[in-house]
Amino acid sequence: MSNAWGVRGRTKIRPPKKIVSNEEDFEKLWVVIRNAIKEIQHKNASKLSFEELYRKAYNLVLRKQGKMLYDQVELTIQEFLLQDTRKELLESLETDDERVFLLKLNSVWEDHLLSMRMISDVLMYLDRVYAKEFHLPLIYDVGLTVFRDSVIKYNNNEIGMRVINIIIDYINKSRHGEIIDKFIIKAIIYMFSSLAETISMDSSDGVPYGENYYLRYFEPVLLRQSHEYFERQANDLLIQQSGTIYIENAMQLSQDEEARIQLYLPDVTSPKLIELMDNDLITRNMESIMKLENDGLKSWVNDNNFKMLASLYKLITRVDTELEMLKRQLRAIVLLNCEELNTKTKEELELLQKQAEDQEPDKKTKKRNSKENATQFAVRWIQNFLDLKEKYDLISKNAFDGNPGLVREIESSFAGFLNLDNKTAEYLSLYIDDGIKKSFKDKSQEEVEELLDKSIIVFRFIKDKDVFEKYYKNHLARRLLQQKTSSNDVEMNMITKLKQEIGSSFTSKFEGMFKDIKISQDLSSDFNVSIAGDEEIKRINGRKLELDTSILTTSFWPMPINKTLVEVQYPSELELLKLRFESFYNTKYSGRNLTWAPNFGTVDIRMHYPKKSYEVNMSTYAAIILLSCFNESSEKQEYTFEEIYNITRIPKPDLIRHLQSISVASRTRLLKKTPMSKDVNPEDVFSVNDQFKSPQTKIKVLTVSSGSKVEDDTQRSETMDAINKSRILETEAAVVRIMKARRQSSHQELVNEVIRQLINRFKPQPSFIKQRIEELIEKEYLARSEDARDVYHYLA
Amino acid sequence: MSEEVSPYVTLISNDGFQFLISKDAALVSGTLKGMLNTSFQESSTNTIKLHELDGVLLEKVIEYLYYNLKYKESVDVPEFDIPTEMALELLVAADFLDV
Repeated sequence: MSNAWGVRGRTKIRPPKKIVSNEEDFEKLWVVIRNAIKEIQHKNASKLSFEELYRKAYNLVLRKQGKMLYDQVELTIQEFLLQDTRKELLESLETDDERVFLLKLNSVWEDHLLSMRMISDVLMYLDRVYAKEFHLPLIYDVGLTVFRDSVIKYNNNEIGMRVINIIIDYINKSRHGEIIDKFIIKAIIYMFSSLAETISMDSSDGVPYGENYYLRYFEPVLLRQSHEYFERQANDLLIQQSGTIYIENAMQLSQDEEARIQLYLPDVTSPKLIELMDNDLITRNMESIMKLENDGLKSWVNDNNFKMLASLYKLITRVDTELEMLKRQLRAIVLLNCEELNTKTKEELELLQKQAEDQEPDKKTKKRNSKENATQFAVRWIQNFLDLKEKYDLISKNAFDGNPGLVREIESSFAGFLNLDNKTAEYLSLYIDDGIKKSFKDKSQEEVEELLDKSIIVFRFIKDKDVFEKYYKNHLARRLLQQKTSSNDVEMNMITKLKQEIGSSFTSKFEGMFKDIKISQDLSSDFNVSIAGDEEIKRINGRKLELDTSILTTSFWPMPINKTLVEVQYPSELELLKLRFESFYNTKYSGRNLTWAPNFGTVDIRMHYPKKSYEVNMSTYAAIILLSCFNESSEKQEYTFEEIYNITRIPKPDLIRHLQSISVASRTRLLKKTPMSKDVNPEDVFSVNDQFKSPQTKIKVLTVSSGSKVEDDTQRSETMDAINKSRILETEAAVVRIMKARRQSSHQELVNEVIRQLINRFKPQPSFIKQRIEELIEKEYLARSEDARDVYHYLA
Repeated sequence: MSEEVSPYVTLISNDGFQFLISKDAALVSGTLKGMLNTSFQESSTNTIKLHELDGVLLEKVIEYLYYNLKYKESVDVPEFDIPTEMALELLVAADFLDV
């Protein structure tokens, strides 16, 4: 001992105890371990010494007998499982009920795991040194593999398949509402998942992955069975031809199944099973369910059945977050609803008319002319469209969770429908027209505001804004000239809204029209003051004359200058006023050209009939006729149509219309026509109607076609021609503008830029732009580049 | 088979020396941990007889177990003194005990 604790330098390292390698010894040592394994498997481990077993295995491994030990251990475990465990389970299968059998299986499995843990603990050294060196599975895993092969898969998967069938049967029972033992199902599935089929080591993190018994044998059967189950369920539900029943059941089924998956099945199966279920219940059938006429998407939309729509939305979201099939069906229904707008509006109008007739059967409501009806139709049509839009807004909000994709789809369906033809633009303008005219009569300020805001909603859908502009300009012009507009504030409000929507270039003409009228009002009052003391006027008439003029800037207003009107002969009173005004205007604004448009004006005349005097408001044309031919100072009492024409030179079609309105229309028969027919013929003779009488003192002569009306087909095609012409101009202007700035551009770039600049007004077709470009090349604004055919140069 | 769980465990060397050490220290060794955590004789008697180690060696091993336990979490660790003559024996013991 003194040596051992001696001074450094002279120290001798004590050698470790020598291990004698002795072949004969293996049996001696192994028998102990073997018996111990058996004891462990029979749950008698507590009398065994861990240290002894560990030491023996340690010695065997050190003696290079690890392989023998490893193999023998596997055989010993296998022997027990094959002879004892497997037989016990087969017996149980014969005699016990399924649940008892499963419990037994689980308990032998748990016993096995416990045994294996103890065995692998005492053989720790074998794992650590031998198995590691030869890259063999640990003893514990060997034990699991032996269990798989000697119990579960032994004899052609004998026990395994029985177990699988029992469990699947349980799951099916649970689907039909039976309560089953979730613990045992979970336990067995857990066991199956623990039995590896292939293990490969992921090189990066050492986590084993690969197939296990559950994935290879159990899951496929489960999925197949589930597919059959859900397909059957879906078919049973389909037969009932009720979307409500189908969706409610599908919701319930999928909810239940998800709960079941949570309870019994591993996470790895969950997405597969849910996908399969969704496919059977939703993907394959939902489109035909939506199409069901009486209890499908259409009826839910019509009934505002938010609950069903929300369920539908939820279900489809499960299978497709893009919701393609819902979009498809929804679009079809939106379009259908839109198409129904026509018939719906018509029916409403007919009903209204019928009610009116029922209330006042004698009145002439039924004789309302068709044009007025058409206007009512337009107004109501827009109103109905807005209602429809609101309905879908509510559906999107309440049932579809405001899903942006669906909202876009609905909007684009609306837009598609509204832009099928240009009627919408006209209808919308009429709707606004109607709203503004009536705005003070029977609407509060809030209601007017709402109406205008709503019209902007429709306006947004309209692609060809220039068409709307055209109609709006017409209607605005009529309102301004005929003083039909209730309030300038309302007009300006609408213009401001339009301006906010697409910019001031769009509304500049509207504002210009508005300004014209304002200036004209001031101008008129100035003028009337200036002629107050005019001797010449007094001499001619002896009574007071007043003039209200509207000075319209030609480019702002929709009415073209009509050169034929220059020929119209004014009676002396009006002629004098006209001359006075012209000189008055020229002193104010020199160098401006005034063209009179009597076809838009009205005149108030006091007429003295034998019985009574009346104040009659009539069109300027009618006034010209009366003042020129039927005044006190007139030469004759009677004039023929031709004579009237020669005196007044009013264009014949207009003349006929205005003569009709003062000689045929029953309430304003100021003149007598012989013969008394409806039509005006060249030979007809007119004279003052001495018998004229009317309950009111103030009378208004209605001229055929006044106010804002729906256009008929010829008018519409004229409007479209006009729009087309302005489109040509605008497109050419855009091309020139762009080329002037860029000097040179490729064809494609130019086309794109033109479209970009014009999109706020209309969408030009590339072929249309191409024509314009060619036109401009011909006019030598542009030239093709000599190097490249598709590049243009700007010619200054 | 005492019911109460003792925080100590007795280690006995092959030449009969007994050491009463804390369980925590014993658990540093993978082998001892296996012996104490499974239901073998050792865990019920709380006594482990180590036939491979003599008293001197076992004492040094136990010193190391405590040393390891104490400095397990530390960074700055003082050197553990190993007498040269025991070096090989300790190496074998470490392998056996999985420390």
